[in-house]
Amino acid sequence: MNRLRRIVHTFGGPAGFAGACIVGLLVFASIFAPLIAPHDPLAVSILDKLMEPNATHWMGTDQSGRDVLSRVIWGSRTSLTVAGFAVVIGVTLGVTIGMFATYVRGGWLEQAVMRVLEAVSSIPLLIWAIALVGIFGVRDAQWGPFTASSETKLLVLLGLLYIPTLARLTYISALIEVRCNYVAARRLQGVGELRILFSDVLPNCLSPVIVQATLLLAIGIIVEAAVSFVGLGVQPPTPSWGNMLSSGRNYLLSGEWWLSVFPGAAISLTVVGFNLLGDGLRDRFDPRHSTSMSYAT
Amino acid sequence: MVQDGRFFELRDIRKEYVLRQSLLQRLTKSAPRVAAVDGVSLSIERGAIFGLVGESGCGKSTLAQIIVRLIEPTAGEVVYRGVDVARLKGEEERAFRHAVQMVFQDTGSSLNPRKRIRRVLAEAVKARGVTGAMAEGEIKTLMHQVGLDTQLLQRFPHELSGGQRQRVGIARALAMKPEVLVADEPVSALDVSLQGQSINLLRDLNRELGLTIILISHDLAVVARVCTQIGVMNAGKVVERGSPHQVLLHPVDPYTRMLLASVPRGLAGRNHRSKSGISAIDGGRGARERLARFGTGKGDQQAALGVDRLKIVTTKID
Amino acid sequence: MMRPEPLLRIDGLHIAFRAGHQWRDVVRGVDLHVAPGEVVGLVGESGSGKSLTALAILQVLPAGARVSSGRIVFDGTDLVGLSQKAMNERRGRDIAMIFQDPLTALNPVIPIGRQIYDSMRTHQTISHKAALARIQELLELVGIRHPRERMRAYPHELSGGMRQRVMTALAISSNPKLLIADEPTTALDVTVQAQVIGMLDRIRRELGIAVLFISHNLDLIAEICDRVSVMYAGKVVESSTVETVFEAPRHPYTRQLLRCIPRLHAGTGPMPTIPGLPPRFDTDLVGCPFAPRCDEARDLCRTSEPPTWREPGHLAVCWDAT
Repeated sequence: MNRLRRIVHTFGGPAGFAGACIVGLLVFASIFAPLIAPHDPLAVSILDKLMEPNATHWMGTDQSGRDVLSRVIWGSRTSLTVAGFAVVIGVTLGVTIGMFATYVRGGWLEQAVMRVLEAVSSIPLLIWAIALVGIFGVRDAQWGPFTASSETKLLVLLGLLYIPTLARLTYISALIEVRCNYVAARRLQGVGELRILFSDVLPNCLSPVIVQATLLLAIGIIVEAAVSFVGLGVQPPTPSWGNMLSSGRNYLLSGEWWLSVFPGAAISLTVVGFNLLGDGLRDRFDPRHSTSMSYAT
Repeated sequence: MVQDGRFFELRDIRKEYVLRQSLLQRLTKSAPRVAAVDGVSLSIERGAIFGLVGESGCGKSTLAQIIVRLIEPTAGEVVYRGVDVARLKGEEERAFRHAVQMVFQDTGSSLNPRKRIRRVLAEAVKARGVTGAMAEGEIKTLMHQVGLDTQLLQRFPHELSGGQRQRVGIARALAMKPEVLVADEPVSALDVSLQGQSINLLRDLNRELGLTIILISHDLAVVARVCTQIGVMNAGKVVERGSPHQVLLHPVDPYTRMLLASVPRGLAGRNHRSKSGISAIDGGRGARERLARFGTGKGDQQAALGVDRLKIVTTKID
Repeated sequence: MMRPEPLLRIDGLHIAFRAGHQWRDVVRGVDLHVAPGEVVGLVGESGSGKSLTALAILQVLPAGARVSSGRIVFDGTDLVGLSQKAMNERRGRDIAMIFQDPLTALNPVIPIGRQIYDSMRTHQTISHKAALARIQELLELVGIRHPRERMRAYPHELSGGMRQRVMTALAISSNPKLLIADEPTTALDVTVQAQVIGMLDRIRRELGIAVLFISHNLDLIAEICDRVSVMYAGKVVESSTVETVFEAPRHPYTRQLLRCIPRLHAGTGPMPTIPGLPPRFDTDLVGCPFAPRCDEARDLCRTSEPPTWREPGHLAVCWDAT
């Protein structure tokens, strides 16, 4: 019982723990998609098209006869890949840029970096995403020796768009930490400024970044779905919750609700899960929340 | 104790900060400046325990940071063993850094909250180039020197008491094998019954290792007890200097006298305190506070606040 | 001789803190009383529980702390378990408090005159004009020059000492019967501290307010208080008049603490200290909590909790008090 309590505490409470469970389910589904999907998500069967949810197809079939459940499961892989790698790119580059801005503080370079970041973040993420994807196109592109699928392009773009938020978070925390005496002590030991930044300051700046990254995962899911919905993201026949919603749109009025409801529910559930996890982590890292006796007696 | 008057000298140290400047001021380079340290000259003997006393904002912390070269003075020289410290480069500069170390007030941020004590000391020792088994040995020795159980090595700072953290800070400084230790308010955050533990430790280190100690504090009683020489600072200047006996019994400067009169005297002070109404002086507002206040650009602040010890130096920057 | 009923009487106060999922007593039975117009000092170091005791009086304990037993009787009413509404009528009006850090206790975006005004109008029926006049009076009383101009100042424009005075003016604006001062000068320079103490002393004489003065500084308490209670590890270990505690203390902690106070003309040599550390609140205590650090401890002290030795006007919790 106690171990469960401790695990719940790690995620910042029951809500965070619930979020973690949902996220865990998502990750599990995406990794083991080939094993747990009952049917081939790409298997077309005109005879079986537009079947209501039944015993063989728990979530029904779509307009090409493909099993919706399998497509939802495989779609999780798409969503998670895009959202996950985008966050990885964003965090890696964002934190680096944030630390760099701290390193060059006091001069014009710091201001320049901050202004550029602000400019980028002044345009809403979704608009950027659609605009950039519109510019760079959705077909597989040749970047040198690499072939970039539509998924890859989307996640790279998204990752770049995450940089301003994450860089700023890192920068703000770093500015505070850098004034602490433990940093001064390291300087007195003759340690170089850059080394101090990455080995002493950085670990203390990561908490807000982790929380934000979790929330950005949720945003990534939504953006991927939205962009795919508009037709600019993951292209059919690869299943993505967004493009499933898009094709399901046409069948809402005619009554084939399962084409839209299931992918939509998947999106909602996943986003809720990430948000709960992010909020839980934020509560956990908040120093005011600790139960230790930190007040003066 | 080697009588070496030229061991550590401060020659007319000044540190000025520029107040928030308007565009015009920035163009004509005539922004008003505030002097946090306003011409301090001191000579500290080797092996002495020198006490620097003053209230908040007098500039003692700024001076401490200048001594260890965390910040550079606007004017004046710091001379160590006859060499102007600003001229040191490379190896010699690093040697100076190691030789003059600082112990901070335990405000919770003097130790990296994410590093265990062992790592804190290991990194310090490594900065001198010592690793491996030799480092382990040195770490244990350091813990013994400051009177801490080696069991504490695997703890995080927040698992230690204030006094224990203070001693870890001293150990970290000792790891660099310094000649001079600057202790900036080392016991202000500690309970009175525990202050002695840290102060006595510094005293012992001075005796056993010949460490020159510069003790910075607002507590005149502590300084008077443990120091061989005292300097009293006010508004960026050293207004009184001498042995504890001289400063306590024959103070010359009026600020020193006021400081002495303000120390609570327990029962003896019970009915002697002046209970007259309006306060005479409203504290020395330090350069830091002046800076923050004048940053708002309101010229009439000075009158409204009744500041009477403010110095503003308007100079053209050449 | 009929002893008048004290204004504040704390009986057997226990305050518990939540550690993980358990509640542990931090304050373990505090008895205290303050007569009308009296100045009582509460002395203790970190971990003694003195600030928690003060917060408990006003029923403003932080989240994670609660009164687990005991009574706090103020002017005849037990405050423990009183409804928020009833407490609100007393807070700020009959009982006021000033804190260590006036910067966080004052609202940074409202001029100080306005803050006092708001408080006054909340707790009393007073006309606008009368309130303004009173504010000026109060500011003068606490020693602020040019009150009419200073009324418009924001807290951050004032020095620490002045903010403390403003907070005091705010606290006494409704003529409280009891003023609780929780380390009011700890964050101030010693010269400013002297002025603030002088101000507090003068106020309480002129207005007849009872004061509960909490501090870790015994010398300071001696200057302003009539009686003092010394706390250690959540209990009052000695309590008497200031003269008695200073000149004839009965508890070893008091004696050793007195020895540690840095005094100006105490000569050179190592500074006296009390070895060891105060007990952590989450450890189980056996015997006298001070025994590990006491220089007069016997075996009895380590095994059994000491009784309370009493004489008229003096108590000490020690086996050796007799």
